[in-house]
This record gives sequence, C-alpha cells and structure tokens, in this order.
Amino acid sequence: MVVKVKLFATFRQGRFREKDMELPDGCTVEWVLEHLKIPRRQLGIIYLNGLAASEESVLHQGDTLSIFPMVGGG
Amino acid sequence: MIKWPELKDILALAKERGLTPLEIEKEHLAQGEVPLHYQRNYSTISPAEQLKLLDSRVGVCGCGGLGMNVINYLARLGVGHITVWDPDIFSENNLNRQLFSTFDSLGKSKVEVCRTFVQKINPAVSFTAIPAKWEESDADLIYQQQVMVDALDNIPSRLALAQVCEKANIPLVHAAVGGWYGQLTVIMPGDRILQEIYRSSDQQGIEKEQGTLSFTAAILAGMEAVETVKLLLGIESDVRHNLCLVDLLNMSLDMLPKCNTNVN
Repeated sequence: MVVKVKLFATFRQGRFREKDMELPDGCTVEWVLEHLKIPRRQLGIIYLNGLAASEESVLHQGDTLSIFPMVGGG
Repeated sequence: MIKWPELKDILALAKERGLTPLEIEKEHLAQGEVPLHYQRNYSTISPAEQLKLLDSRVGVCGCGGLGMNVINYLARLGVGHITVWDPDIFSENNLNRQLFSTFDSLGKSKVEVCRTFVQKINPAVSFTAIPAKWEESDADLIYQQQVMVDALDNIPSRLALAQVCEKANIPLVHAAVGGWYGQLTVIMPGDRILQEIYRSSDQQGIEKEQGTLSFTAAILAGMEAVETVKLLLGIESDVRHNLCLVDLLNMSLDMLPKCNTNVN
C-alpha cells in the first residue's frame, strides 16, 4: 500500500519533507517511525488524515501521515 | 479632529493631580483623545479599543526569549496591567536572544530589568514583577488576569500552567520554540491540546539540540502578542481551533486542526 508521509521541522533533516511511501499492508505508525529512525524522545504530535493519532494507529492505502517533533523552548 | 496629548504633559498632569499616568491616559481616551505615543496604533485600534487595552490585565509566565518580546509588544501597544513571573537572573548565554539582556545586566533579576525597560517604553503601564516561579507564587494573581501567556522554557511547567488556567477559566496563549521552528496556539478552557502535544514528561524538545535563535523567539512572541490582543478585544481567531506550526527554514506555516485522538 502507498501512504503519503509528511515530516516537519528537524525530522526533515536528512530525510524528506513529503514522500509517497510503499509500506507493508496493515502496518502501524510505529513501523514508519522505526523505518525512518525517528528519535522517540523528540516525537511530538502525530496526525493521520488530519486527525491526531498514536504510534499504534494502523495505516491504510491512501492515508496521509504527518509526524512532528516536540518543541518546548522559550 | 482628534487631539494627541503628549507623554510629557500626561506625566506632568499625573504628578500635579496625584494620579497615575494610566489614569490620565484613560481620561483622555474616554474623551476621544488618543495619547500621541499610541498614534500609530490608530485606526487599526480605535480609541475605545485602546481604552479597553489600557484596562486589560495580562500575565506572562517566563521572562526569556519569548517573554521579553511579548512584554515589549504588549507594553508598546498599551496593555495597561502586565504581570510577569520568572525567578532567573541574566546569564551570558541569554544575550543571543533575550531582548532586554545586555552585558551590564548580567547577574541581575530578569523581571526587574524588564520593569526598568517597560517604564522607559511606556510609563503608563502598571507592571508587576515577580522574581519567583509562578508555581511558588500567590495563585490569586493568576486568577486576576484576563489572559495568560505561556512563555516558559520547560514542558512540566507548561502543562501545570495549562491546568491552572483551565481551573481559573482563563485563556492561555501558548508558544514554544527550538532552532528554526516554533509552534503557537490559543488554549481556551476545556481544550486539551497541550496534553496531546506533550504526552510524556521524559520527552525532550528539539531546543535541547537546536538551541533557541533570536528571530524565532521574536517571531513566535509577536504571534503570541497578536493572539493576546485578539482575545482582549474580542476578535475571533482560527488559532483557537488549530495548532500553528512555523518552519522559518522553509518559510512554511501549517495549521493543524485540534481534535480528539483518533481511534485506530
């Protein structure tokens, strides 16, 4: 299946901004995080098709997944 | 034709009548006269709105890269009552971004230095400086504010402030920065967006690696001031319904709708 993956802020560095990824059927957000080596301690909010999702959320053909790092400085 | 009273006359009149400059400015505005130092606010901000700003109470938690810029913007706009909490003193690594930090101010209380600058920027502002953590201060002070601004630099304190604001039924303007990036939202009571963003206390923001740049802090602080003024003047804003993500490296701004966590 193909899922559009969008990365934001520092997660773009050395990866990409947006990519149609070929993923195994029924895989989860966690699988994508592992595959892209996203550092978990920096993981912020995850959006799936415009709705807040979790690492356990299951992906489907045509989904759009957006992954954001956590920002906390002032 | 509008009259534009000058600040020197406002200060002299306040002294003569034993009133505060804020009280004199309010009298002028009630008569449709706009103090000259607010002339360029006009007519985006009407005399009635300017009077409303002078009557407003805003609390700013954190007096660093974000906080000092927020205070600067609010003081210049003419927000009448500003309270700020921060226990820190200036250190050399603040000089890259904190607006009122100077070589001479190293070792001095941030909120006290801030008070001196605000008095020079706008002597009509009633400025309350609290050189302590907001968590350790009198909670009543937060309850007296119309809007609270989150200009903190750590996640546990941000989450605790959101809880207090919810309990006090006060809107909270939130921003956070790291490197080229920032986020902004307005949290109305009942909105749990911060708990969604900061899900675990052992998480680490990108600022630990990326640092905090002057322009990122100033831009996000400016956006916080924008949303604060909209709240004070009763202007609707999309930022209440979205999380706004700012990427200055790619000059992009994404608005993510707030909603409950999706079920698989």
